[in-house]
Amino acid sequence: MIKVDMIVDAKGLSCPMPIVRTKKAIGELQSGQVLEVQATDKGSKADMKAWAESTGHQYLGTIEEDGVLKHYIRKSAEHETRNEVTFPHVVSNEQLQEKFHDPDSFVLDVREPAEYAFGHIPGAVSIPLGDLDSRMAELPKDKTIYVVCRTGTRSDLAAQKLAENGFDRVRNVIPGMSQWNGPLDSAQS
Amino acid sequence: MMKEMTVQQMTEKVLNKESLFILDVRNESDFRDWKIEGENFAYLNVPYFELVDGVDSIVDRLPKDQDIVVVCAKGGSAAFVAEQLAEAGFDNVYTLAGGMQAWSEHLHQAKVYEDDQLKIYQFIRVGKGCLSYMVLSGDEALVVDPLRFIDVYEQVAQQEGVKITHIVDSHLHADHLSGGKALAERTGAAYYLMKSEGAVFDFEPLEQHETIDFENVHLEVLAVKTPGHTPGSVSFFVNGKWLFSGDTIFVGGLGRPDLGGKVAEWAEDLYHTVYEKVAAMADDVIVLPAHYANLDEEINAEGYVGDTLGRIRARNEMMQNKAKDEFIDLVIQGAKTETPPNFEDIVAINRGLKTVDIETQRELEIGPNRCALHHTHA
Repeated sequence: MIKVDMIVDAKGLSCPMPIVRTKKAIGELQSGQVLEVQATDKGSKADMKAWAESTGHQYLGTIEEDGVLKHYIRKSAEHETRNEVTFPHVVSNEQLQEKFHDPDSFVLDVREPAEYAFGHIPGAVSIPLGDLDSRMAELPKDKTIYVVCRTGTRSDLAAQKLAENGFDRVRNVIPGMSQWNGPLDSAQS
Repeated sequence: MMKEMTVQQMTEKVLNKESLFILDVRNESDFRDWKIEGENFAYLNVPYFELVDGVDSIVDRLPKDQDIVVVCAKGGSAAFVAEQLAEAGFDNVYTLAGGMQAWSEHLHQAKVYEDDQLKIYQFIRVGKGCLSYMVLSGDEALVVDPLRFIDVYEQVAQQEGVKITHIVDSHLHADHLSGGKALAERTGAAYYLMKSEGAVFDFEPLEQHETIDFENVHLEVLAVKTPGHTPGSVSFFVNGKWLFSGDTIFVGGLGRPDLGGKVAEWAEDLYHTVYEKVAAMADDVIVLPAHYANLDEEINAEGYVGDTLGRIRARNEMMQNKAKDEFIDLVIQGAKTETPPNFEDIVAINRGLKTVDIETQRELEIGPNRCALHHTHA
């Protein structure tokens, strides 16, 4: 089970209905929230991808379970495209690639669980930005925390938050998973 | 009620070179991959999901004085868009019934020849470029390279009052699913293919048959026996007049090996086929291939895909006194590197190593006219 903000049931429906329902549901979501669309129409996978591309939403991936396709879509968040990064301590993807398996390194992935599920840095711990306040105690103070998201914006907010709460070895990874060329672990194929 | 166009009607429009406006509402990559090809067709591709909130964005790009056919994968999205167009005042809008799935599965029946003793039909899979045949004589019929739509052959046999007694595959197809095994099971016909192709079910090995005879049909199996390896592909020469050439000789040129690895052997086979078996044949022999690349160019005035050996030879330098080494080099140079989509699954199914449901069969075969890519224009 991947945690999502809304589930749309389009099982048994053929196109165009899965997309029509997805479109309606996306309208009801907040930016950055994740939608799961359950469909049985095999063609829905390619269409979901193409539709997301044309509308700017983020197609995360599809899992097939017992003949049901579960598509994961994250509603586009406009502020992410502005890329206003203010946290001063940043590292590049390449720098993180050299460091992430050091015992002294801790990789914190603040994207949504569905984004994490479809590909993350091996060993990275998932705490979505929205859960960070309540789960901060899970983080080590004696390691360097590399905060990563898709483009560096959410991780910037998370890094600031950690610094305010007494974590003094925090690095924001720029740009993050959208350009990551290193190894990936995936819970899903 | 929406107006529908059937795949049969669409085929007529293609064959008659009529003009038509196709509004294809599948996603852009599907449209780029394959579409309904017509010499006088005009196209607009806008995915249906961009028209969910209305068709205002495209009404200016559609003709008012010409029929518009809305096409999608299976028909649902086309109907969704066509209804909106009707509401917007277009009365010239049709949907393609069954969409590209139906288009991919439609076989058009064309007559190649008929006299008192013999009749030959060609079945053109217009959406995919595959050709299969039925040779009828007396009370019996032979099917060459049947596709998986075996109802079609059974219906024709019933209409013509014949029993399908022989089925031949010219080679193990890698680009589409063969109907040979299923048709043999249903009709009790003998099913012939090359043993060297690795099928695991019961069949008649073509290696053991130099000829197949029934009623007024005399079929010669043209297999190149090359020392050192077993040939994969054969041709069938019927009554000294019709050459069912499989994947070796097409109307537009010679076949191109497509599965890699064995290109050199394949080229040598092709050389022996062309220069030993076929070279001795008369110019008026009619070549009936298993594929075509371009229907408009390869269909003849009689309405079937085929041409005389003389004309094919005249057009094709590769068939005119090429030295063996040069021929093989040219074929190897022209070999294509891409394989048909899903060929591993298709080959496994055609060998009987794997069975899949109808939905998966459709998925494996759906897509462009790639079975004809192995033409060489050298």
